Amino acid sequence: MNMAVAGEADAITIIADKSQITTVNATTDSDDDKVSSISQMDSDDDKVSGNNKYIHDDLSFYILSKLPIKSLKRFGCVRKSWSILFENPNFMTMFRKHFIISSNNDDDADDSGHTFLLIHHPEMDLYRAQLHLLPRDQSFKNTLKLNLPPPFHDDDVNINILCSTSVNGIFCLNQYYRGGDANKVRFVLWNPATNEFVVLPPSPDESEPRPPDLSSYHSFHGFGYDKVRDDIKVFQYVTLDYYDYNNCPPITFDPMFVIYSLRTNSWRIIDIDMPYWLCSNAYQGFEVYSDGMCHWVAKHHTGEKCLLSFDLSEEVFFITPMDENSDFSHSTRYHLVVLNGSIALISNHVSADTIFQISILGELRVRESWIKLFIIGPIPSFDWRPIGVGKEGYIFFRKKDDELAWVDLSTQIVEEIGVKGEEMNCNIGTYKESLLPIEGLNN
Amino acid sequence: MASSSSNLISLKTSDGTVFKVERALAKTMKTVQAIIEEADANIYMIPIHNVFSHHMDMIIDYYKLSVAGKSKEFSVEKLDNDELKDFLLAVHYLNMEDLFEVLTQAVADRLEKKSVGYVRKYFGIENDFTPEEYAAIRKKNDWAFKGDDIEPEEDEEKQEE
Repeated sequence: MNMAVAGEADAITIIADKSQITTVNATTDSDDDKVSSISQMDSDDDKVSGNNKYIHDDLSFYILSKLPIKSLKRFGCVRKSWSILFENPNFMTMFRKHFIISSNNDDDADDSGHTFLLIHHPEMDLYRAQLHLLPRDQSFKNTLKLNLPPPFHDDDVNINILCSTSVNGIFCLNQYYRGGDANKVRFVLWNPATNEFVVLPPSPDESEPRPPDLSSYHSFHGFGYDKVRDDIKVFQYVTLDYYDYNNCPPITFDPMFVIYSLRTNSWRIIDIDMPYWLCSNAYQGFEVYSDGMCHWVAKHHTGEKCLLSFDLSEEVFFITPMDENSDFSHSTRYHLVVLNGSIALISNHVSADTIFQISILGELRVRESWIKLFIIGPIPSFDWRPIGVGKEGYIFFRKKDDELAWVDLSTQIVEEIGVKGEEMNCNIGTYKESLLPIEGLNN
Repeated sequence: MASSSSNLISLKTSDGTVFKVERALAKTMKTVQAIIEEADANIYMIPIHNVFSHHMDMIIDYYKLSVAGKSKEFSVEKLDNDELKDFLLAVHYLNMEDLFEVLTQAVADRLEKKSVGYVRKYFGIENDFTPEEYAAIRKKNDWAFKGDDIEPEEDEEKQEE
């Protein structure tokens, strides 16, 4: 296509160095005609409609695919084809792709984020904890093993990392005392990058004198950051019950909800009405943390499951019902994770147990904002339940042969870490380093 | 005199300005690249429809920043929503991958809290719901319209909660 244009008096613009640019608009008549004829040759995409060019679906859907669920649900009222975006496979492909990419971009900026692996190895009949940071390729060969802080040097049995995440670079570790007093729980806040740690004082349920056959059951716990007060908080829900039902006095104890504030370095008892019971218990660590709140899957007395959330600033609980098509029978199991900053449920039905569905929540408290996002599988080698979400949104499972592995949502490729783990004895999460000192630590 | 030095490509914008750009920059424009590859002989000048000189200025800015590894410093803050849309359409026409991602995200960010009415105008779309259909879908997604930061709909009266 020969574009020699005779008779024009254009100036040449050299772009190599912008400081030397001189641009001159060619203004001969022949040129104007050429310009106007070019603009009439507008690409098919842009028809003029009133003051605004019409933007073709391909382009408008691409822009929409970068919007959060709440905006998309609102813009469903723009026109009919937009009201069924979430059923439109082309749109969903774009939405998924962007969901995955944007989780990766958060980590690209700095290299301070890692997947961590907490694994318990049996030694005699004790399960001793080891904490590893996985390298970028998530392989065990080059992990960085972290030394647990001093309180655990002599006793590293059965340790949990609350919420499977660091918050402001801090882990909250806990451990149930063995032998001795099984009612006691030890909590430690720890910043691995600075080696600072804070051992929490005993919680109120431990300080009150009580009969020796009364046990406390720590139904659930959580930890996170209160951004309103710039405070780290740890909380637990403790029920008290007699160990031996046959031989106990007719006294009942109220459950206790206790919350610790790093700023005051003390616990408080809070009066909370807690009518819901959890599917899972504190020992298995199924709570998650995101953006100032902790979340669990909980179960009503009716058997219906829901998302239970605790706002660390307001110190209140609230419920988000599950998607109305959810199956609450024992045939479907759910695992709650935080995926790319969104609350997500991984579910699996016993009749198709090699397939895993992932739904994400668009807006807390809103049942209609659950979106089915991914179907992974079939992956017959994976054992239920997932062991966590690492960097880049990789989802980790234990395989049936005990090898720990992860699946990449964008490719559905499964890779092994290169280490084995036992059921219930491994936990994956994310750690993001911070060199900020733990507030309130006395030197 | 137009030259066809092997390192520079001449691009002529809709408003008649000629830009001589490095071949590497032209390569980021897949539309232009296709034209170059299709030509048997050397091309003197490639017209780029719907692209104005102020668009080319910004494209060159972005290119220079990305070559220096500073593409994150590129900002379209100074553009209003319509200018941003025009820029996006230009970059879309030129088929420039990276800048397209940046601009589609920028448009999405601008639209996130906007009203249904605004978005219709912005995309040049007509409402094809009947009043009853609209009322139904509006009600069903009422939660998505709530929030202090969400632009209220022009034609809706404020209702007492």
